[in-house]
Amino acid sequence: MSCLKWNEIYDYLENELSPEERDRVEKHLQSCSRCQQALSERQALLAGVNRLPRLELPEEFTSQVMAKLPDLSPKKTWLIFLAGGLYFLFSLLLVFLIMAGQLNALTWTWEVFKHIFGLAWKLSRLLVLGFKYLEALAKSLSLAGKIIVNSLTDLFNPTLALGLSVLGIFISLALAFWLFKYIKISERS
Amino acid sequence: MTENEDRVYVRRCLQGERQAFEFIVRKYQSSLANYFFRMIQERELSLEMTQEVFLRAYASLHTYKEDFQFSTWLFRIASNLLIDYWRKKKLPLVFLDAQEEDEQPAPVQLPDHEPSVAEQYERKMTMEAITRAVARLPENLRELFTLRHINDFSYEEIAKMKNLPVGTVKNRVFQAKELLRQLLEEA
Repeated sequence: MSCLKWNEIYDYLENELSPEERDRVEKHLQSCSRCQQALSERQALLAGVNRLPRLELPEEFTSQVMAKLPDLSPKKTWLIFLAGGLYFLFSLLLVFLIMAGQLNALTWTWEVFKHIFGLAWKLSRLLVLGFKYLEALAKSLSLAGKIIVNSLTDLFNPTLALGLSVLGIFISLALAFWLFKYIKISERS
Repeated sequence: MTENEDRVYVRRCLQGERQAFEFIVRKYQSSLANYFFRMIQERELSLEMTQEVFLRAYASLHTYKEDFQFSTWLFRIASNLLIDYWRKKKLPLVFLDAQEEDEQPAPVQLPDHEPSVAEQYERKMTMEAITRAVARLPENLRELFTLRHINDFSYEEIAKMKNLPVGTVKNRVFQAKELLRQLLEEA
């Protein structure tokens, strides 16, 4: 029978072998002094590692950690549940009123919804307006870009203009990279 | 305290019982601190990093899934924190090829019986030699070795923690042990 592999020896020492494999290893160890020697060396190594001194923690460590724990605020979840619950009750009330034939309730509900929709409509108008401003900004930037490109094309031939543009992009990237590195270094120092 | 009890304490924390987290801190503070200490060999920094792990764990307790062992989840946070630390320090990660299996080992002298004064001195020297040798292991091997032999995690738990196949973990821990033996031999 061939000698044991070193990883088999570790597996044996760490009880990682199946009963059959363990039997086989033990049988071999009985007759092989070389493997016995290898086993005792690795056993000593693991025993030494187990005896390594442990880092002692200061007594106040736990209380220090506990004092620094952040607030786990479940407020948002509660608010969602509260809002959902109120909405449910409100809907239930409306249904009851309508079923009870109180038509006034319908008119009142309609008024409430009208106001809500009115508000939503105004908000959406505001958003659209904002979007239009952004669109206008994008258009001006694009126009400015076109003017620059056109003037470059007028001043230089297309190949040179392209070359200059590529160079411009390269310089911008290099500047951005340098800036990024600079920020990183400042953070570290 | 078993893994099930960990889950109970996590649930209690999530229900707003802040003090329940103290049991978790007390249970894992020593093993986490020793994990960091073996990895970075600086006491104060190890304590700071241990504290940071607990703060991060507490803040993200709601993301913990009970299908996993809590200890594995906690040490994964620790491992990520360590990786961030190495990245900031820009330490190179060294990967080693498997050691030659035919290599003839030299005996490591470690007495197992009750030590005399001379033996105690020798043992102290041996402990220091092992500490130094562990510190010289490449970071990736040292971490897996520490998780296995200092923190006593099983290979399967380490594999889950590090998102590695069990075979890879076993192989790297084996490499670490053989390299450690080699370093002690040279010492």
